[in-house]
Amino acid sequence: MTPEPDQQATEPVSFWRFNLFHELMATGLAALALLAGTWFTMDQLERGYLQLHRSDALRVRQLLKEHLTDARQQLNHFAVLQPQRQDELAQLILPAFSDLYRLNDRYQVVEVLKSSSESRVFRGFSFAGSHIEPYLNQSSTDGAGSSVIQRGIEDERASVYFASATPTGGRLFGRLNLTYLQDFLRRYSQSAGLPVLLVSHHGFVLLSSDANLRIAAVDLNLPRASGAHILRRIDNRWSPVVANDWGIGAHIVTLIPTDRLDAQRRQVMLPTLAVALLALVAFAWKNRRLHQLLFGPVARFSSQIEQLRTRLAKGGTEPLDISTAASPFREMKQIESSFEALMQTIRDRDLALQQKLRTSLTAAAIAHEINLPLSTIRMRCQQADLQLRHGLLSPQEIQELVQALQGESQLLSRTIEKMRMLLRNVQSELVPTELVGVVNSTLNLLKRYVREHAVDLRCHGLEEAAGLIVLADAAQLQTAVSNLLRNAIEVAAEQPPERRLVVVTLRRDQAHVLLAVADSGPGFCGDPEADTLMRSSKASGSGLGLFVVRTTLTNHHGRLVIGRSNELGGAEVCIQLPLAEENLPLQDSRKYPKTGMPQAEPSA
Amino acid sequence: MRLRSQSVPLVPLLLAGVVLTGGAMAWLTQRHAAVPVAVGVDLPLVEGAAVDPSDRYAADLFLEENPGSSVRVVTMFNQADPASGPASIAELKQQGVRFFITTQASSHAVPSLPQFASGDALAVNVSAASNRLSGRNDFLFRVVPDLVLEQQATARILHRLPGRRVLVLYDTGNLAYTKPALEHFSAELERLGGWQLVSHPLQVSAFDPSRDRALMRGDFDALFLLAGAFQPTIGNIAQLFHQLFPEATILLTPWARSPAIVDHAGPAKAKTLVVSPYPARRNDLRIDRYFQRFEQRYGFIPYAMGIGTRQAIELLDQAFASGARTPAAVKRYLLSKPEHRTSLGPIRFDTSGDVRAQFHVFPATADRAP
Repeated sequence: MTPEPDQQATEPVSFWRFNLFHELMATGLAALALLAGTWFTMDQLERGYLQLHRSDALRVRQLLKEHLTDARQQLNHFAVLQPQRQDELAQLILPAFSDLYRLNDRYQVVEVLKSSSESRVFRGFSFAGSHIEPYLNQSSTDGAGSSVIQRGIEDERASVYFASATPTGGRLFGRLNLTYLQDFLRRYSQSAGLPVLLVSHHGFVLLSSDANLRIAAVDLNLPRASGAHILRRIDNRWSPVVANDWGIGAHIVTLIPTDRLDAQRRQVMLPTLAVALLALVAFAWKNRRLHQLLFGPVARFSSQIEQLRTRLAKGGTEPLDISTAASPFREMKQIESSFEALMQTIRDRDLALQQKLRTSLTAAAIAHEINLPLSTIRMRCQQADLQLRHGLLSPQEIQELVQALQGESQLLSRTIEKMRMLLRNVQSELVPTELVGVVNSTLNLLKRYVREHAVDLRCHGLEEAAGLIVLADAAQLQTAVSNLLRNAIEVAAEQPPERRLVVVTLRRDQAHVLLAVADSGPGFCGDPEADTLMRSSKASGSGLGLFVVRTTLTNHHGRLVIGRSNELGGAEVCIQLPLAEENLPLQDSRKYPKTGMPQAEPSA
Repeated sequence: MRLRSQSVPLVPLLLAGVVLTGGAMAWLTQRHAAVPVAVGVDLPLVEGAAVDPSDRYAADLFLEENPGSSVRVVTMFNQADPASGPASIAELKQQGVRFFITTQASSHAVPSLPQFASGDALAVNVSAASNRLSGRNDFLFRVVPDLVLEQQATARILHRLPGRRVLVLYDTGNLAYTKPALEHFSAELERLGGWQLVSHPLQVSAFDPSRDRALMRGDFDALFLLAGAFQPTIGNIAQLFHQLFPEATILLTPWARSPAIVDHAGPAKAKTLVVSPYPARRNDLRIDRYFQRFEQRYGFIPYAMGIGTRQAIELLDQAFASGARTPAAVKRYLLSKPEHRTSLGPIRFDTSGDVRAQFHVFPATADRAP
């Protein structure tokens, strides 16, 4: 079944990353919620705090209203006096008024009854067309109330105007310059600790409890009493609380220093931030510990398994072992023990397979070794049969033939036995042996083989190597050398006649003796050292010959080196054997202990 | 269920983190890139009296209408004492302010001149017409013509009016402006001929009708109130003169173009003319709309200096937007173009940072909403 495209493209996600992401999200959201909740709570508390200060403005407003009411009553009483009395008493009564005029119906000053020292209003001055005219128009209709607080035309100071009709016609027009209010605001501000401003509808600051504030105007269009609007004056920041105008024509603005609010906010937000940070730190520590105790060991475990898999794929023969993941968790321990059991099962099965493989190889190698002697026996038997049919053999010749065949079959039996012992790694009896003798006897045995394959066999160093002694089982060694030579001869025989060459070289290399067999064949494919268990330089080779050679060298503490011959261009197989101690007599097996090879299994 | 990589959107999470961090950094960068500009708030007229925040509001309105501007407004108070002008500027320079829009009158601006000589700060003045500020290679720019051009234009306007005798009352509270202004006005009027000039000093801020009435003794066809600072008392003075000479024309300087003055002028406003480098609201759609927006936002009509303040802040904003961030760079920018366009009209600086402009004359009531 063809997998879906998305299944092909995606990989499983790391649980650690998955868990980390979700925990991070959860912790972050919780921290945000905590901070937002705290901020909201603080905001509500501040609004409540600012709202409280609105009530302070009521006191100022109340005072002003009382004063305006008194002023209105004073003016009304004054208005009913006779004009002559008014002239006399204008300076004495009406203390609240800084200026008092008598106006005609065109709002022109007919007479100045009372005037402040800096007044710029004069007799004949007209209020028509000024910002006071709307009040004058209104007062002439309903006759009550006062003007809004505004800039006085007399001196630009904060002022309230009153108009009152007189019985004789015209009207009295007076101004309160609100100086007293300035003093009140200052005293109130000092006691409350909060600056207070009197602000016109246009936002102009008409009166301030503290002249040093130098606040020219308050933008009344910005959010009021929400704390969102901040007045800044160099080192000071205030939140203005604007009390609505309840008829006095101006707004009372209380300035709340934001440093108090800021301090409160800090007192709450800082611990909240600290808690949130602590939570994040705890989260980080917990995840780190989780990584150390669980995810790390899992990752290491996984890595070891991967290394093991790689080793197995390369055919490594090292013992299969895996270290524990060092995690304290039961689940991890269970995984480890289950895996260990699995590995043991694999080891056992691997061992059994190797045993079976060795048995198979033993049979194959034996077949490989006895193939030539059997062929020889068969050929001699065929020849004898032919001769006997033609009556060409004498009884003596027949007897010699039978004895030769007996000898061949005994040799065959010995060869089989030797092969079995070799492949079962039975303790070989190694005795001092002159290697050149083994080589010569092997060459002698293969003389006919060489001739049949029409190969040019050359030897180098045999004479010089005389006297080089190794500890060996001559028969095993001869079998191994015979395999090497036969392989080389067969490969060289596949070449054109002018290139059928095999060279045998024997030399000493310090504490070792080297026997090299090179041929003019194609050589080994790929890395000849990689997996030589069943390699062959012959196209149809089974590799058993090299297997036998390697096994022999293992028994003899030797080494097999496979390479390419620089001289001939083909394969060069070199066996390296350690030289025996000098001056040891040959064939004195008592002085040489058996090799420490593993015991062979009992034969079937 | 097999967990897939899409269940853990680490890449989008990282991207979101990068975007948030980048946004925060951009905001911080922009915050740090804001250039503080000190905008003057005109001096308190009388202790305890309301202060006209027209200039500060003009700056605030600009920022509300241009939220992407890198200008950050710092309030600067002009106090009554002219000697306090340099100190106010120095104090703000210590706080890192390098750019100023000054609303100082000449009385304050002239002593403050050394503050803008070395190039550690640059100012655009919208209110000082003194010719002692003209023709200098410094870091003070003006968006209004100096008093020489102003008074010559005023004299030419008066010359066209019917009459023979003009009373000039010049404010002693700002002699740095009024004295040279009178000289140039007189010189030009004499050159043009046809009018006889009588002048008297008068401290506008200490106007006493009973005392100062004597200054108006005589027979006059016109009054030229050589005073500025948008003092509403100018209207009181105009009304007093009008009471004595109901048919006479009253001329006001560009520094008396204010709704408050009209408010105090009473019936005199019908005979009052204002000379100004800016056209009347009724004759200029840009100024009319600007006044509308201002009144809608703040509830009152600003005095004329607010027009200059708006132009000045637009100039600085344009300079900052071009990449100029130092006084030297801004100066180069302002002098690099023959004409700078603002929403309230063009400005053409000469090589000294001064301007020449055509003057307009119109009734004082022309700035009321049509």
